Amino acid sequence: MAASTVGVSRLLPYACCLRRALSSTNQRLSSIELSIQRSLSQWHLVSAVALERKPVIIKEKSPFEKKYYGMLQQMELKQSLLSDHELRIKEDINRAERIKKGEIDESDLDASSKQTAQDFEDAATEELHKFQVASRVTDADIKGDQHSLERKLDAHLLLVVKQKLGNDHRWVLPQCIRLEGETMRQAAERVLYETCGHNLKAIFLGNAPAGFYKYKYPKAARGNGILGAKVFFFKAQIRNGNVSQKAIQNNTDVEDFLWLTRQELTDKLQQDYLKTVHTFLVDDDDEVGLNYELEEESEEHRQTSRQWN
Amino acid sequence: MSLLFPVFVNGVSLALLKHQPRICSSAISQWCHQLFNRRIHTASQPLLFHLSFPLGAEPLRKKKKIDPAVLKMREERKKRRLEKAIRKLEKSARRLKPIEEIEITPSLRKEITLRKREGSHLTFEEIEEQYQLQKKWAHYRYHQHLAEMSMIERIISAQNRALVALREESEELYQEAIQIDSALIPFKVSGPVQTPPIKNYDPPDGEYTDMTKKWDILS
Repeated sequence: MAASTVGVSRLLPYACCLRRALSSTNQRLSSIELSIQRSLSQWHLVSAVALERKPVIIKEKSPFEKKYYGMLQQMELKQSLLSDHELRIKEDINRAERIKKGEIDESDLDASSKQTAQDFEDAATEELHKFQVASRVTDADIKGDQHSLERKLDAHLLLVVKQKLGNDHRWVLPQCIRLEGETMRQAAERVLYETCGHNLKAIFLGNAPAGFYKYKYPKAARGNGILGAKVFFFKAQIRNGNVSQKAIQNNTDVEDFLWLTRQELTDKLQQDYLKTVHTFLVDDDDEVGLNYELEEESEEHRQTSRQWN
Repeated sequence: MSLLFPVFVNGVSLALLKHQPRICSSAISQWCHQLFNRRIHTASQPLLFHLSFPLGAEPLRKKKKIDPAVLKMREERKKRRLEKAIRKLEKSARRLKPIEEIEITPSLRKEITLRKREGSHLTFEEIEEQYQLQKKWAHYRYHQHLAEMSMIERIISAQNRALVALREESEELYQEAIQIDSALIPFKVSGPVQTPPIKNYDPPDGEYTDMTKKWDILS
């Protein structure tokens, strides 16, 4: 009776409390379940680092992009007015013609001693050509040195190591089993510095794992009732330094390391593993462009053939 | 009684009396009484004429009475002047800095026919070609955009899958994983650029003149 007279608004907070209590018991229940699960868990928790070097230079423009860029520049030029320098060139030409015709005497022109616009332009171009920009193809590219960070400047590079897993060595991203009391991110940081040494500076992209991979140990290796490993990948970007050879030599688990582009990964990583790694990596810029160009070229082909016909 | 301490009575040191050794206390009181009653001056210097200080000013002039109307007018004038100044300030505050690039100088206005570029006229074919190319470009960029969006979706879903898998293993680790990493803010990246940086490049010091114009508020 009393409840019916009490307004709904008065009841509302109680309802909220009730709901909260319910949900908290739910949570508690689920956490209990989880802890039971954990005690029964037969998986190793493994943190792995996907350490990347981002592209340093932009990709070469595709033919289509070049064409469009050319058009834009042409449009820009056509819409523009003559600059001061161009006016000067015009004037110079005019004057030269008039001198040739004998309309003005060369001697009474103080301008004749001055530098002409063309001279100025030549000097400027010469100065420009004197400046040597660094080559887009580096020594590491020529030598094919996959240990260097200076290779393939226009592509993403991913650090892979030849790590001991079970009895044999495999190309994987550097990984290690989480120790008790560590978060996954801390484990990832630890494995990075353990394998690569401390003269490398990297920035981790967040506390959350970017990808997940699960594999089972071979039956012979399941001695202590552990089925396999659950690998959580953490993304990181290199900011400074490189992997030290010394650290690799000191590390008993790791034999070698490589900086690989997306295409090169296919040769080194196992099929399944590679697929998982590709799910959380950013594509190189040209991957869309390539597909489109093919279409583009074929279309052009068609057009030209039509014209010829 | 002999006086050992200097006692001052009406400015005269009683220590002077020291030379009259046998004076009893009653005699001193009598003498003091005489000093007061007869108004005997005890200043050491002779009493001369006293002069009052001269007043260095002429007597005040009578205050002129001003017409209240004039006063009012004066006040109003002052007010108006202030208001005008405020208005002027406000006006200049609202005025933006002139952008030189937008304003065409008179000399340029004169030269505009001189600066016309020859051959800037586009033929119909050229216009048509440009149009086609722009259309293709839009198509190309659209595909690029789609690819980018699907890539982002792919990355996000990979992360979500990883988080779900982590939660299955341990709630605590999951809670740790979803914390915000404050070290990432602000996040800075530079590049990519057209050509790689030259190693150990020593940039030449050029002459530097600051051409930036300064704009004051006009008053």
